Amino acid sequence: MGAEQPPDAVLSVEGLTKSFGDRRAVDGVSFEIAPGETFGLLGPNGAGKTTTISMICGLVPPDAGRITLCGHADGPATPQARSRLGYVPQDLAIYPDLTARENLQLFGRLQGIPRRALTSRVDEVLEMVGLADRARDLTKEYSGGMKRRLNIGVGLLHQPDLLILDEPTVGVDPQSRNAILEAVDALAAEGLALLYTTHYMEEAERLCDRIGIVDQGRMVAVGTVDELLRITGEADAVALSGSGAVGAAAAALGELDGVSAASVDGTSITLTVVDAPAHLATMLAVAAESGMSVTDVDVSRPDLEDVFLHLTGRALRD
Amino acid sequence: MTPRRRVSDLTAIGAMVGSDLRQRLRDKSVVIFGLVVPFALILVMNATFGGLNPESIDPVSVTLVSARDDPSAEGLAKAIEMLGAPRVKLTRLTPADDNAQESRLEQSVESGRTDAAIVLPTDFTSSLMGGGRPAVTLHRRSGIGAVIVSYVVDGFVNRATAAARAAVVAGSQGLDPATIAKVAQDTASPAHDLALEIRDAPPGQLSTSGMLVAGQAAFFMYFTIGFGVIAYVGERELGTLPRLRSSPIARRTIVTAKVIVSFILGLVATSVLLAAGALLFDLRYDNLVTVGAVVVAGVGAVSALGLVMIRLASTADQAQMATSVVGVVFGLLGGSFFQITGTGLLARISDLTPTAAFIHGVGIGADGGTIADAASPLLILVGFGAAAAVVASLLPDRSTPR
Repeated sequence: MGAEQPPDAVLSVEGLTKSFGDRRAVDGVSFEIAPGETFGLLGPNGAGKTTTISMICGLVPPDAGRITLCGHADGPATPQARSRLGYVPQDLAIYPDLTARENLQLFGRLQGIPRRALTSRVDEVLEMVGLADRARDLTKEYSGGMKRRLNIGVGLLHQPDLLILDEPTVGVDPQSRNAILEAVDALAAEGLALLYTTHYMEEAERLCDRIGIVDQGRMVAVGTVDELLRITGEADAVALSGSGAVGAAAAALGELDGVSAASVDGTSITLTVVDAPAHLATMLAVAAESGMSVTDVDVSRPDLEDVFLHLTGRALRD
Repeated sequence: MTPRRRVSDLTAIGAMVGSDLRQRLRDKSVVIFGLVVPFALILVMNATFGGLNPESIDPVSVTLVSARDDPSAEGLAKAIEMLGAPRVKLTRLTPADDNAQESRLEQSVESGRTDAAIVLPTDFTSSLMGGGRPAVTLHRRSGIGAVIVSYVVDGFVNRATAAARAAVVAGSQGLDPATIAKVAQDTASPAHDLALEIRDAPPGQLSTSGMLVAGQAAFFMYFTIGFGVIAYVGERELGTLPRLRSSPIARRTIVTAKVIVSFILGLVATSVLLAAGALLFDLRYDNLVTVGAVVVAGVGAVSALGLVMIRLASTADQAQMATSVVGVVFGLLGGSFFQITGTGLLARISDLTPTAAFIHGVGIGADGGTIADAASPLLILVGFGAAAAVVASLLPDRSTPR
C-alpha cells in the first residue's frame, strides 16, 4: 500500500499524521498520485479526508510524515510548490459581492498569472465552466450549481499539475452534480492529475483510477476498483439466459477455473465466479461450444460499500 | 500553458486590497457605518450641546444714552466694547429733550431692533462723586447676549459706585482734590494699572463643536477599522481563507491586506468627517499638516488594534461585538462624548487612549500647532499601534482549519 513511489509522482504522501488534542484525525496515511491519474479518497464524514487535504495544501502543518508535491520535497511549504496545485474546497470559496470575472481575476493574480495572459485565461475558464454569458453578474445572484462550477473554475485557472477537489458535489442538486462529474471526467481525460475526496462510492467508482479508502484517520486500503473488490473475496454472480443445450452448458461452465457453482433455472444458468469480467469471454465461448445460444448476460458485482463493510465492519455512510 | 511568475507580496496585497475595497463599497456598509451614521450623530450632538459654544452666540446691538463727555459713560462704553463674545454693535445717543426717548428705546428693544438699551442720567458722574446712587435704566431682550451685556453694566455700576465712595473717604481724610480724582479714576477704570500679562493657553483646546467633531471622528475610527477585521474573519466563514492560504502567497500578506483596507477606509472616513465637520460647524484647522499627521497616526494605531481583534475573533459576530465594545470603551475613556479631566489614574489612562490622543492632536493642529507641538499625542498613537502589533504577534492564530 503506497510502498512503491513512482519517480515522477505528482504527489507523494508518506506516513502523514495529525492530531487535534487527544483526537488523532489522520494516522499514518500514505499514497501517491501519478501524472494524469485520478485518485479518490473515499470515506465517511469525519474519516480524515479534509484534514489530509488541508495538510497537502499547506493549511495545516502535519505532526509527522512527508509530502512531496511536484518534486518539491518540502511539500506545500514553499509558494513554488503551492503554485503547482489547484484547490477546490468543500465550501464555496468565491466572493459573493464580486462577479465571476472579478473572482477569477483576483485568484489569477494571486496565482501569479500576468495581467495580459490573465484576461484570455479568464475567458477560457468562463467558457469551460459555462458561465461566459453570466460573467458580469455578481456571484451572489448565481444558483448553487453555478457557484459550484465557478468554484471549480477558480481551481483550474492557473492550469495546475494537480487539482484537489474536496467533496465538490456535497449539497448539490442532481443536475448540477452530473454537470460537475462530467467536468471532472473531462479534466481527467485531458490528463490532469486529480485528487478527489468523496463519501459517495458511485462517484469514486465512476471517476477514479485508484481509490484510497479512509476510515478513522487511517488508510485501510488502496487500489483500483477491481483490486479493492477482490479484497472482499466475494465472487460475482453471473446469469446467462438463452436457449439450446442449457443443461450441458451449465455442466461445462461449472468445470471452469474461477467458477465455484453453477445452477440451472429453466433457460437460465446462474454461476458464482471470482472476477467475472476476466472470465466472461471464456464462459460465453464454452456455452456456445456446449450448444447454448446466449441471449442475455447479467453480472452482479460486490461494490465499494461491501468493501468498506468488509474492511471496517461498518457501512460507508454510518 | 498559462504563464506564471512568482507573486510578490505587493502584487498579492494590491490585488486583495482592490478586491476588498470594491466589495465594501458594493455592500454599502462602509458608506452607511463609516460616514452616514457618524455624521448624523455629530449633527444630533452638536444640536444638543453645540449651543454652549461662545462663538455661536449671536451679535447684540446695544444703545447707550449718556451725557456728552461724561467720563463714567466713556468707561462703560469701553467695557461693553471690550466684550469679545458676544460681538457688540454699540450705538451712542445723548439724552433727548423730550420725555419720549425712553419709551422709544423701550419699543426698540421690544421690537428687536435693539437687544439692550442703557440710559445713564445726565448727572451720572457728578452724582456718583457726590456719594449718591444715580438710577441707571437697562432695557433688554431675552437671550444670552443681552444677559451678558446686563452683567457688564451691573459690574460697571458697582465698580463706579465703589470708586465714588473711595473718593468720598479720601476727601474726608484731607487729601487734595487732584489725588482724590486720581483715586476715583483708578478705582472706576476698567483698564486699571495692573500689569496684566496675557498668555495664550497652549494650543490644543478645541471648541465645543470641534470636540464633538474630533471626538466622533475618533469614535467611528474603530468602526471603520472593524470592516477589516470583519472582512478577515468573513474569509473564514465564506470559505475563501483556505483557498487564499493555499495560493502561492505569503500568509502574512492576507492579514496585511485586511489591515491596509481598514487603514484606507478609516483614513477616508475620518478625513471626510473632519472636513465636513469643519464646513458645517465653522471649524478651522490652521495647520493641516499636523492634523493630517494625527489622522494618519490615529488611524494607524487603531488599525494595529484590528490585528489583535483578528487574532481574537473567530466569527463575524464576534468581530462586530469586539469592535463595538472596543470603540465604546475607548470612546468613553478617551473623551469622544465628554472629557475626563483631573489628575487621577482614570485621567492618566484616558490621556493614553488613541481617542484622547487623537482629539488632543487634532486640537493642536486646529490651533496652528506644528508636528513638534503635537509630538506628545503622536507618540502616544505610534506607541499604542506598536504595542497592539506586538500583542497581536504573541496571540495564537485561530484561523487554522480543522
